[in-house]
Amino acid sequence: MEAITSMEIDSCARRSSGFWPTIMILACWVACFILFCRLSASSSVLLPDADSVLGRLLGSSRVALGQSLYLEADNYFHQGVKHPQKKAFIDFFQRWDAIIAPNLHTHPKGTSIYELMPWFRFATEMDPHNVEAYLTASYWLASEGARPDLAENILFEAQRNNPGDYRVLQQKGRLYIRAQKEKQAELALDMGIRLWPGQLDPEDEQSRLDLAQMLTLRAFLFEYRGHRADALTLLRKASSLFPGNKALAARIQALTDGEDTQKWAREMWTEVFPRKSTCSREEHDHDDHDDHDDHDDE
Amino acid sequence: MSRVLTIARVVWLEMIRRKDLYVLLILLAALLMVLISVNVYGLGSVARYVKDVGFLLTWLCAWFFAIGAAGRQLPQEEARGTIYSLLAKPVTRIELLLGKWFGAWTIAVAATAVFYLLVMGVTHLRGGHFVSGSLIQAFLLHAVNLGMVTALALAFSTRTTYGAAASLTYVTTLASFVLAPQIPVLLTQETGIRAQALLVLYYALPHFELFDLRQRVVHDWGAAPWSMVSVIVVYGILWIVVFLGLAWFGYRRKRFSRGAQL
Repeated sequence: MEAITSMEIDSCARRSSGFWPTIMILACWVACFILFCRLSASSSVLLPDADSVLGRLLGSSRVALGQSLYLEADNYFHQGVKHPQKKAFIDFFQRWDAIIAPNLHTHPKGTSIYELMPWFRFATEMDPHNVEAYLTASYWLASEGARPDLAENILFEAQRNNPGDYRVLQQKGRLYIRAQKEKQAELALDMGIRLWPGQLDPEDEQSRLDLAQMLTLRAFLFEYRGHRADALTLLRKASSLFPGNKALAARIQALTDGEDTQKWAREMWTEVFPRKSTCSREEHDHDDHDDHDDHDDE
Repeated sequence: MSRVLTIARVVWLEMIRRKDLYVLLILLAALLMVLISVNVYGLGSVARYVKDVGFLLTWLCAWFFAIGAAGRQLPQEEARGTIYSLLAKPVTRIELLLGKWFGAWTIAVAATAVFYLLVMGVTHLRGGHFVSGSLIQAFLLHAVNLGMVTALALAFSTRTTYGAAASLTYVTTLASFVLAPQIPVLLTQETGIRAQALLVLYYALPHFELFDLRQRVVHDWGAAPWSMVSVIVVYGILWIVVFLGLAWFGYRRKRFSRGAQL
């Protein structure tokens, strides 16, 4: 009789101890479901590839997760220093926290910038349509990281995943100009101008700035080759986007007046657009050199 | 004192027999292996993210382990009926509580030390390094934090089942870690009764964020001022005393009857 009672007690205890975790799991599931519905409603245009395993597992939450991973790169860029936030009061807890938390304004230099890259990688793995993450990664790798070769690879990947986005081609154009690869720069910029504005709002200030920059850079390449009429057409288009721009007006005036802008463009090409991020091991196979420390930063 | 240590030893033996620690260790090792196998654009010696995610996982594993270890001690004794033979021995209830807490806390700290060693080893494999001063401080504060978590779980478990105690501890510690530090920011937009409620929460909840030095360790900042670390340690000890006091308050006159406790 006593044995039966003991068994009953054990079984009852087990049932009782499983109750709360079950409730918690159910609550979490409901929360995830609500979050999923909200994300589905707000970001149906930006749905990542649903055919992959990750896509099926995480669904639309990949976009939100990718964005938070991208923000983690910003945290690394500030070396773990928190963004200042507006607070209602400052008390001793916050003063203690300010003393023990990292608080100097500093950024990674040189190859330390590589430490940001895993977060860009994770962000783009989560959401291959996070073009911003691709662009930022390629920018830092090409400039501070002195690895234009890897930056180019990132942009190729970005283009594969976002074939209709002009921003990737704009970045490629800039990268090639910096690397003094004029033909590739021309192709990238021509394609970028054709694809503009893509899915973005043509009235958006940033998107208009992007177009103006692509037009100006392309005009510069025309000037470099001595094609003054083409350059003038593009500069006029750029000027129509931002009518008050004095630099653009001056360039248009110079071309209209018949000045030798090719000479100016060639000087710019060799002096103002130097290879800022030249890798001293460019002749080597980079895959064999993971400990990439020495670069010629001009 | 020796009775407290004997009870703590029994907690250790029980936790070693259980598989929780090994499962968490294997899980952590597997996740770290996945992390270091990630190809980051062909860049080799990138290690900071391994350190970062590794320590985040360490905090999570230590949290689960500590709550599991402390929260189940008393309900388990009661469910098995072994509490009767235990209290029949010359052991006071305060000694029982202290022994259970000390055992759960020390094994949680020992498990955390193993997790730290694993993360350090994997980070070194990836070419990373550590600033020893901040690492020691981070571990010290983490250990004090685990003392608070185990004391809280024990306090809840004096009057509830294991499941309820664990759930309440998860919710309270999560709120302390995530919500409490954000309250001064939230208060810029709140007024009236909601603002008052948030303010009460701010001062009523322990500030777990003070014990988290991961950012210092991950981003190779040097050691924080020891004077401030000592102040935070004292703050943590005060909370441990408060939680153990609550546990004693809940347990000292508790009556056990097989029907009621289940």
